[in-house]
Amino acid sequence: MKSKRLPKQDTFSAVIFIFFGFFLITFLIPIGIIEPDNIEFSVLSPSYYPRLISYILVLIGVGILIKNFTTGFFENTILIENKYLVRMIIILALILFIIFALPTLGIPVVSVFSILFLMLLGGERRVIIILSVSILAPLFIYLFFTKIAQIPIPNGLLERLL
Amino acid sequence: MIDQLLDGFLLFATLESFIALGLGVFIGVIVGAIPGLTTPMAVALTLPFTFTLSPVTGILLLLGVYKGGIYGGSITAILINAPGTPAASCTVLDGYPMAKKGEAKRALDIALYSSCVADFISNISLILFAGILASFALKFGPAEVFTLIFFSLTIISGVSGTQLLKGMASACLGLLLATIGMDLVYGTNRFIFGQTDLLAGLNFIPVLIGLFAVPEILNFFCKEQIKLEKNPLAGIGASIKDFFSCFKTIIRGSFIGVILGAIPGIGAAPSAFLSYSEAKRTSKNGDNFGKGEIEGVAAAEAGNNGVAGATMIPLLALGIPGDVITAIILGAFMIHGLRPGPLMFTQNIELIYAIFMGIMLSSIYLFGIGKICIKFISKISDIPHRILFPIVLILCIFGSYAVNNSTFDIAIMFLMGILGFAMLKLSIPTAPFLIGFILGPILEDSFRQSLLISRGSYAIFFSTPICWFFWILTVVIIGMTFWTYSKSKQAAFLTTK
Repeated sequence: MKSKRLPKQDTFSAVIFIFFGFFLITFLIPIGIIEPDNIEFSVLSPSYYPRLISYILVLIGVGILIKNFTTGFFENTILIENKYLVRMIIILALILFIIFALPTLGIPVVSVFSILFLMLLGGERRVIIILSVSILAPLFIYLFFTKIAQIPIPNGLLERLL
Repeated sequence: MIDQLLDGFLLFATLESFIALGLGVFIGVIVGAIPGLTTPMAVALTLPFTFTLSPVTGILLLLGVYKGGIYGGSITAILINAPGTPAASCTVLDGYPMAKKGEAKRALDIALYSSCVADFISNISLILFAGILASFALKFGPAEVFTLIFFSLTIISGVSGTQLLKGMASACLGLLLATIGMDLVYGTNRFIFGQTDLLAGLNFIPVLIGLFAVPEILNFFCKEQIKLEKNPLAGIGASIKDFFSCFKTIIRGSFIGVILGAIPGIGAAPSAFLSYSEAKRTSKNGDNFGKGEIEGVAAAEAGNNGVAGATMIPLLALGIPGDVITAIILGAFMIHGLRPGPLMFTQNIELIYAIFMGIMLSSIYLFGIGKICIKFISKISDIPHRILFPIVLILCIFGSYAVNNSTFDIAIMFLMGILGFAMLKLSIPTAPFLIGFILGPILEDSFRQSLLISRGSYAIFFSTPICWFFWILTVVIIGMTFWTYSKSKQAAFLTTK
């Protein structure tokens, strides 16, 4: 949705790029990349290439900042309207639920629950459609992956049943 | 020669070869269309079935799966914004916007036509120019590959639209993400933080699905539902006029695919992006690319399918597998007591002819099977999003899990999805991120291999005419991009004033 001009939004992206670039250079690369002792040339070091890109990222961030202050042409969109913020939080909670419940509940159960929940959230109200889709779609996908593609899917709660 | 051709024909013209090839293409299309099931996986799973078949039939079965798989990836890329294979990642850029406008069938049709033409050209090139292309491909050392990939990165300017700087930053993030995993030169860990699942780096599929399909689903639930405008092209397939309007793009993309396919280790995704980039630069509809331009779909599909026959060039002519799939096919040759390479052209030429005949037939099979699939699969775009998107999300979960049988990949997919959604909301283009992520490993490997060879000297990147050729092209393209960019900004500034 087009909205009022929000010049700070591009600045926000620029600040993220600069901050993340510096965070990589000063913190993530030194602790996240193990440097061997026998490096003959510094350009061959495992950290050389990520460091180079991080510097470029910082430079681009600075470039965006300069562009914003000199031209000021940007028209952006509101991130999420307030009335949909609750939905966003609900979906993020669902994602967390899926990630953490998968090992115990298994993919089939989580799938049925997720489809049912999302269809309701999306505005579907026909009970037959909701029930049939939320059971048959995961079942069909499950059968395809396990029986045809021969991929062992974690069954969790239904381990004995399936 | 006529006798050898006849022998080849007799080897090929068996009922089981015809069935195996058709079955292979069908399996490939289906597997390619399912996110998470990759073409190499399908070829590997089919390999045991070839043990009891004759060498020609077995190899044609594998080739069918390979060719079908490359095309199949475009189906879900167009319909649900989730590329089935990394090769189809470029197809989403225009394919899905077309589907959103109700032109899914048109996009699927042009993807099929482009794929078949590119596949056919690639096969012809394999037959006619195998020797020449193989010797040309051998001239590509790490320095040449680096300059080629660096040149391919100029496509970022094309897919960033008006957000050039943000697009470049997005590409940097993709390049950085590709560095996660074990460093191949020294064998040390990079950004692993004790997480063993990250040792092999992030897999393409969860990242692709997360970056494209998940944000679309999240966005659907977090905005006002907009009713589709009546589109006169809704439900209508691509016309002859559409095909001929894209013909030049298809031919160019096919040859880009042939050349890049002949170089071991490049793959179909860079070829698709390069073809797309060239199409955008030269098309009169260049501004519509990324918004649902039919030529964009044609360019991407021609680019990735043009690779299909050409990857067989280094395999058959030199015995060098160019990618994972041709390595599996090399295995199939060896299982049957054959060793691809120059000697095969003298000792088993009738077998080579038989494979060539089968390869030519595969393009026809691809067309027929693709047409049948489109007829049924294009109906998916008619399903209301409130029903379709939850199913797509579940398919994404199964697909991400299937890549490594790991729930960790599902978490990666969601993480990428949230990142993609944030990028969408901040108007940061995601396509450059993907390009950086896909081309990143080849770029870094060739960069460091070159410096290893030159003992740290950058002069290696300017040591051959091929390197110079790509540097000059890169400078010209970057210069043109900035010139066009500054001119458009100037024009916009004057209009606002």
